[in-house]
Amino acid sequence: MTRYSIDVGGVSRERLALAHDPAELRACASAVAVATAGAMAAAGSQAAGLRASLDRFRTVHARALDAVADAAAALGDRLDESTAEARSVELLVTSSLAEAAGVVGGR
Amino acid sequence: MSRVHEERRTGAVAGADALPTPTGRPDELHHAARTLDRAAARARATTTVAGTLGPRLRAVWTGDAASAAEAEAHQLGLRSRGVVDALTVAAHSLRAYAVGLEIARRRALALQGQWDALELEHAVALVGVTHSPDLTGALGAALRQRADEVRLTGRLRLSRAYRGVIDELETVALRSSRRLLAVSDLTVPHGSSASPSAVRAAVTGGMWFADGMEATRRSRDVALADGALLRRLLSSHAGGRTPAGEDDVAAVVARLRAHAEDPVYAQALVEEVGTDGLGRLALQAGDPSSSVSLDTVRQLLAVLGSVVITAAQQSAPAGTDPRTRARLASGSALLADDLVAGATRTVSGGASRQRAGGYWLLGQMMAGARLSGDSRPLPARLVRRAAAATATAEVAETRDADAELRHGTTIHPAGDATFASWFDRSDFGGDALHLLLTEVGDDPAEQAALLAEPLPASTVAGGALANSRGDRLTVGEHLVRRWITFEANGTQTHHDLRLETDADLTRLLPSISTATTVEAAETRARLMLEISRTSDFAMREASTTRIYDRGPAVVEQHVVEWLSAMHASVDRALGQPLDSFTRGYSADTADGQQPMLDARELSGVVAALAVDTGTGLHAREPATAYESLLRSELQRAEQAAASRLDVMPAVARLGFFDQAASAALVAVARRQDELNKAAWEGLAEAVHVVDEIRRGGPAGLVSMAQTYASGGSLRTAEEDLLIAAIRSDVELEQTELDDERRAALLAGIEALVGRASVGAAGAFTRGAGRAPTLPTAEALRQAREDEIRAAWNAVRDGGTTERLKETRPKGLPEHAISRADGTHTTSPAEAADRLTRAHPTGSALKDDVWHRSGSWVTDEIRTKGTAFVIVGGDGVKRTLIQLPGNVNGVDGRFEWIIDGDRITHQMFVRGGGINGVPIKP
Repeated sequence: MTRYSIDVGGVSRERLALAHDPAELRACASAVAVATAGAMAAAGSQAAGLRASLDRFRTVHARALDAVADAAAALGDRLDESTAEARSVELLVTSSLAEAAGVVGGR
Repeated sequence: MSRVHEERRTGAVAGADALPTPTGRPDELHHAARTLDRAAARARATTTVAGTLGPRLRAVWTGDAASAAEAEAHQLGLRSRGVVDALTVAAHSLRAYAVGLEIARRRALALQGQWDALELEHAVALVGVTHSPDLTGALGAALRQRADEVRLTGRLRLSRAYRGVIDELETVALRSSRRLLAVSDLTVPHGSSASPSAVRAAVTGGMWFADGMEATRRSRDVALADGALLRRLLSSHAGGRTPAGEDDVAAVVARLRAHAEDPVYAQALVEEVGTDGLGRLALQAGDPSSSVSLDTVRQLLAVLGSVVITAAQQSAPAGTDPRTRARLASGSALLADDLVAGATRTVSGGASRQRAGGYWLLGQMMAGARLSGDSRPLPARLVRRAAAATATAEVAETRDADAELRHGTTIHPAGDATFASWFDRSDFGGDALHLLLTEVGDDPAEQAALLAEPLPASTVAGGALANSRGDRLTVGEHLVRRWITFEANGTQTHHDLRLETDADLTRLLPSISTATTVEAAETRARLMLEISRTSDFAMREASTTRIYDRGPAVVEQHVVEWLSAMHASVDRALGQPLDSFTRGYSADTADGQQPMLDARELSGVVAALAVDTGTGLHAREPATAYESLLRSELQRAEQAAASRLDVMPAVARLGFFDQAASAALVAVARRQDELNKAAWEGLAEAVHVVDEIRRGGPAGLVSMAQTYASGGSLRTAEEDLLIAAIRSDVELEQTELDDERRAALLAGIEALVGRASVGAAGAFTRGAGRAPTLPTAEALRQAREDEIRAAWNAVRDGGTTERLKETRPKGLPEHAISRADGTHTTSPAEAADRLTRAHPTGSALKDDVWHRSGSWVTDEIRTKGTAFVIVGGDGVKRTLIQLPGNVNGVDGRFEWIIDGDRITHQMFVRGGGINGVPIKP
């Protein structure tokens, strides 16, 4: 049997640290899209190759940051689930102990 | 390229035109670079990219799950840092190009200045030539040529310089472009699509929580769209809109089929529409007024069945991320709850408002799925619960006020089939319980668990869900009851669509037949009890006597084997008084756990084995199942004797079995006699009725009606005398036959065990004493004589049966009319013994305190009770026991009436004294 311990409050606090990450990362994705679009316009007519590279960079990295943002959100959900499960276990164990204590106390 | 070459032979050209400034806005490029740097810094400030979550988690969480979460956070940090680092590289590249562009632009401007100066110098030179004296013109021409050559040389030099500036700028641009491409290729491989899904796969692919979320989102989106479509179809017949037709349903089938094996989709769709919604859709498509073809209805059922199977799976497909796996598991649990709850609900649908129980619809969907080749199993736990709910629904259906809903639906069965079904294959018909039972595989543990599954409660079914001990029925007990009340009754089973309960039991019973676990022993005990009870009920009615007209069926053979193997438990029951019997379904013995039944319950089981033939006014031999039991017990006795072990327990068991079988056969014989007597009485009444009709006259008919309405009779005392003389006496015949068989059995035992037979007769009698007592042949002959004599006395005295009945007090059973003046001709101790061995029936089974309380004071009968022999209006002698007592502060008397081996009456009479008259205080 796996032995483990979880400080539900502690994990919840750490999960809070993740709370704003998805929004931040999505804002970064928007900034990348806007900045690279401006750069493409400012590159000059002699930099056709650079514009094409900027276009791919813009597409790839704006979307990549969105994917990272989604993943951060999913990781936060995963921590939520773990703490919820742990709390369920905790409640189950404490209620079972309480019942057992009641039985013993009733004897 | 400058324009110098085009203008080389022409006039002056401006530097800005000859050497144009490179386009582009370095300041904006710098701004973009700064934006990218700021975005990178902002991203690096997040916990995700900084990668600080993992170590912080470690401080508050340990174990496998924590390690997994930490690894996941670490992995996401690594991948996200790669993406963010690319922003810095891009910013650097942009900045480098911006600087290059600035330099190029400055140098271009400088070259333009030099160009313009060169042009000016050329112009000045030409002016000088014009104003210089030149008589021949040759000097001027030479000077102009020289000025042109100087300018051309200058232009060429400047153009080369400009070309160098542009080349250098293009090199910077190319270098920046390559760096950008390189970092992009690090994130998404070169040549790959940069579509959102491709980028997502490249960045977070393989990270289960991220992949799962994306896949779940896609599946849910499709399910929501399909759910909306199904809801539109479900509401299409309402509000005068065009009902769903063949094309609509075919389109639904196609859409659902495309995702039917996606568990996220399946759960989301069922959640969206509900299990009731799926059922209503099936009813709507299969409605008689619908234009949807039967084949399409079957396809719809098949795909709905597959969706349900998928949604109910507890194990997610291989490769599913743990997060989605956990959500699917909880989703399947919720769906299971919904399916089980829905099994007992009735839904309606379609223009004809056909109705069907959830269990029947589930059976149809499962039939469709199986016939379409979907062989994925349903979770065993769900099958057990659904089968139990189906059993409850079946019981409730026989007790509700809905006469139209039969066997799960208002849809009429085809032809003379028992069950309605959209499928015509007999093995996939409308018998939903059988279909669900077939979902249980060959694992004996799962089969045993199925048999032990308790039926869920139902307010409609109420007390019918209780077994003989008042506990909740299990699936196994329901199957036994069903086997007897449906399957064994061949006249009600269609040839082409038979109930498969017999086959179901044949397949399932071996799973609990030999195991010595508590669970298996309890299940065997419960099944035997149900067989005992159901057969007892069945034997009371002539119409159900044929139930046993099937010879040794599989269940009976199993019961014989179980009963033969539980000798330790039987010995314990025979040695234990009923009132001290510990209620439990199993007992620990030296041979492991064995079913535990008390002597009365064991008698019922033996009775079920002993009676198997139809009605007939003759005594009969015990059934072959009982003979098989007897052979097994004899063999055991013989083995014990051969091994010089104590044979008396086996002999006592044989005595008990023999007496229990005899009691069952005599009970059947007695009922034959009652039926025969009732037939004669009915015939006599009919003669009088016909006579009244022939004589005519409204007054006569009214008088006759009043007689019957008041419980009277038109029979004369002479007719009752005749009936008493000629009615059958199968009970006596059976008793005599049983006596012969018993003597032969005892002789056989003595021969079998040889020298060990000393005391065998005593052991045999002791065992028999634990089974219901029976009147002797002599007592029966005497009772018959008394019956005839009473009838003769009635003729002689001019009395009639009707007169006796007319004086009967309200509430007093007809048989309780005493003609023996309450003479006590039996001792309280003897009466108490008979009471202990007798089976409670009628009011003796009522569970209110005024009827039940009598069971608590039977020990006092020997010392404080009084026993009477009373003769009822039917001439039969019965034993009345009265005992003074108090219930809840109310004084009165307890009383019982014993009729043969049955307690037919038990109650507390408030304020009653010891008077020899039942019921009356």
